[in-house]
Amino acid sequence: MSFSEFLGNPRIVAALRGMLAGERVPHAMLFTGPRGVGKFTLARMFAQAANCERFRDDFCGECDTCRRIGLLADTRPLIAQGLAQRGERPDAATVERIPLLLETHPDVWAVVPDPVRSKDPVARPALRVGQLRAVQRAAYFKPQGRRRIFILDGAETMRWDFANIFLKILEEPPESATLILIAPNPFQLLPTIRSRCLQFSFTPLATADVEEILRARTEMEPAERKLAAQLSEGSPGAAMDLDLEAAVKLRRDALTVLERSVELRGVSALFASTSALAKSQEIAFENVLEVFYSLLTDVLDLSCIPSRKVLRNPGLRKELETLSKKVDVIWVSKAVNGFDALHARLRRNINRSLGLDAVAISLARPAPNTGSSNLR
Amino acid sequence: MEFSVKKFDLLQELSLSQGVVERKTTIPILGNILCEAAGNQVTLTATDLELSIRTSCEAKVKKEGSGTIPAKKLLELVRLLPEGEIRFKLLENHWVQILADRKTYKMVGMSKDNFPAIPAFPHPLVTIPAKILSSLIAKTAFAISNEESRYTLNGALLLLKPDTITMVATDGHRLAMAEIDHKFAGLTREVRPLVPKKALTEIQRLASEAGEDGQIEFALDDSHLFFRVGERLLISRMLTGQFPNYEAVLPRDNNKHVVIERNELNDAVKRVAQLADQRSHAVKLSVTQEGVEISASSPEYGEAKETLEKEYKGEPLAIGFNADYMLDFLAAAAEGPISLELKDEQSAGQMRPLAEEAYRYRYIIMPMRI
Repeated sequence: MSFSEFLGNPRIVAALRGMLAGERVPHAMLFTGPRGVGKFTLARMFAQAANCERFRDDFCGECDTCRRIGLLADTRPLIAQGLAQRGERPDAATVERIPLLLETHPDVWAVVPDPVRSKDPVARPALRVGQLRAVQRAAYFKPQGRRRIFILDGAETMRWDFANIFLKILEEPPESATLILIAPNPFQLLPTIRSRCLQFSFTPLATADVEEILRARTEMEPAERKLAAQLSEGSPGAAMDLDLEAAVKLRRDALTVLERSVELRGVSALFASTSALAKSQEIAFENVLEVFYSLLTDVLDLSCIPSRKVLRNPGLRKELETLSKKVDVIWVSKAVNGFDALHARLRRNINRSLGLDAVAISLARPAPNTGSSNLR
Repeated sequence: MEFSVKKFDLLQELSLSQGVVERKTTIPILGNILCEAAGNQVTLTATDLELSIRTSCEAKVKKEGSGTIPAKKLLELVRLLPEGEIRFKLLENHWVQILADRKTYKMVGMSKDNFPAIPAFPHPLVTIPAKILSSLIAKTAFAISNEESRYTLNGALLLLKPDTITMVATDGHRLAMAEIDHKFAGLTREVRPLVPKKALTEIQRLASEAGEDGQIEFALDDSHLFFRVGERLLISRMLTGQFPNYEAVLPRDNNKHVVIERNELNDAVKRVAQLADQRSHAVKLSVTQEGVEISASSPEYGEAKETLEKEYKGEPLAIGFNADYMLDFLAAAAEGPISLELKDEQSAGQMRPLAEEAYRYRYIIMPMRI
């Protein structure tokens, strides 16, 4: 094992190795980028390299230290174990008192959003204050090896008042520890936290790299690999979790919504398909919106350059071409604005189905009447 | 792994490890105790990643090897078993069979490979009499900060010099410091590690088990502190960071002295504190030619005033202290006269027990505005 197995984002890998080689490791880093591009994986590799018994700026994957830290590669069984250890249905106080920590080596902790649901059913997995306190406390103990590493996955889920607890440790960092915060988007974190971390923005991988990773790590057929790599938009983690059939269907459904909304034919059918999308239990609504964005990108590309070869959704080329002939750039920008507004309002927990209906109707072309309903 | 051991021996060692085994954790292996059978003894190791303890007891080892057993359940079971031999046998899949007489139990262990590696005891640096160390801890540990954000105050400073041993603890509002002369053979430099609070508690337990003339071997490496009493070894991770420069806050010219018996002062402060403000716990000490007047008042409960007739020649002075801080010290100080040394209303006060002179014990409290 070594850093060479990490595909994509070569600049970040080089920067991290340079830090280790020069022994100038920062006390806090922030890894941002789309889900599944390897932020956690690289953080884990960095932890291995920082403590590997053989190498200084790389890791062997074979020494005891590397092996133990390497167990963090699959966090699912560790999380299940930890939750079982805490017992069924813990109350809120227990969750804080017994924080969920993943630890396979004494110097390296992975802290992931605690999936325990409290009474409030909308509560999502989040980093808890108990976990943050535990990290803060542990960070001031000297490492057994060379460096203590705390990987905080899902840093965007920590509540803002809890995040403030963290400022102390970011301001007066212990010299022997590094915190690695992981979040999809840096702007979901408090500016005070963001400004105290060294930021690395991960970019999506090339489709070929994703296919390569899928070939090495899964047993997909070549055709499936290709499709999965395309649909994942450069994120091998997403590609591996992808349910191909569902993903293809989702795209087709989303496209149907767009097609119907342009012509505003069969409004009841349109609303049926929007509500199916909005109420789906399996697919998070954010992902549905991402699919819309991806389709709209293709429509924009095709309406400007009808002969464009590379598409995000090559499987739907024909339908997309038809759609792109009916619309123009202004329509696409209107649609994107509509989805942006919907996305922003999700934070206030608006009715998703109605929100999607409103966007769909507002995209009708030509507009049925000027004062038609929009998001408001 | 297969061995048999006397219940009494095992129970004693197991109870020592209980303070270390983490009950509140989501890391399953930390709830387990590592048993290693070799030679004619079995070694038990428990850890919570900050603190580890390794003890051993005599055993008849049939087959050498090691395994892990849930610590809490094991202790409870062993406690309930009658006196006599207990046999342990490692089965497949990390199960451990426990046999006593005609009672059979099987416990689900975990792979010993998951158990964190425990560093080995390096060459001992010095030997400290258990009684001295335990006494230093008792005199200072209560002043350790509980605030997690003040991490360098979450432990006590152990300062070893070739001919003295000192322990200092502070939480920023008060500082306790005790020092005693002790010649260390072979110590040429000054060593000043920060000892975490939990480790101090466990050292005291080890010291009390060691008896009157027990000796604690002390050693340290880059990141760990080691305390060994006989076969029992306590390993603590070291805290990072610099302990504050405590020498700078030690008062130098507190020239207004008044001497009070410990019990007299303790009882008076305790009574007066009942009516002190519930949030600040402030009591006021007015020192005049007539003696010391201790008073407190709170808007909800009322007011209290006690006068202790003491000899005092200096200028009158009134100063406020947190009653809890005073009582902490008075509980730890030896019986006998206590010297209260003040400078003015805004400067830190110092308390010093005049009995038990071998320990140069000083306690400094910051005053409160009242």
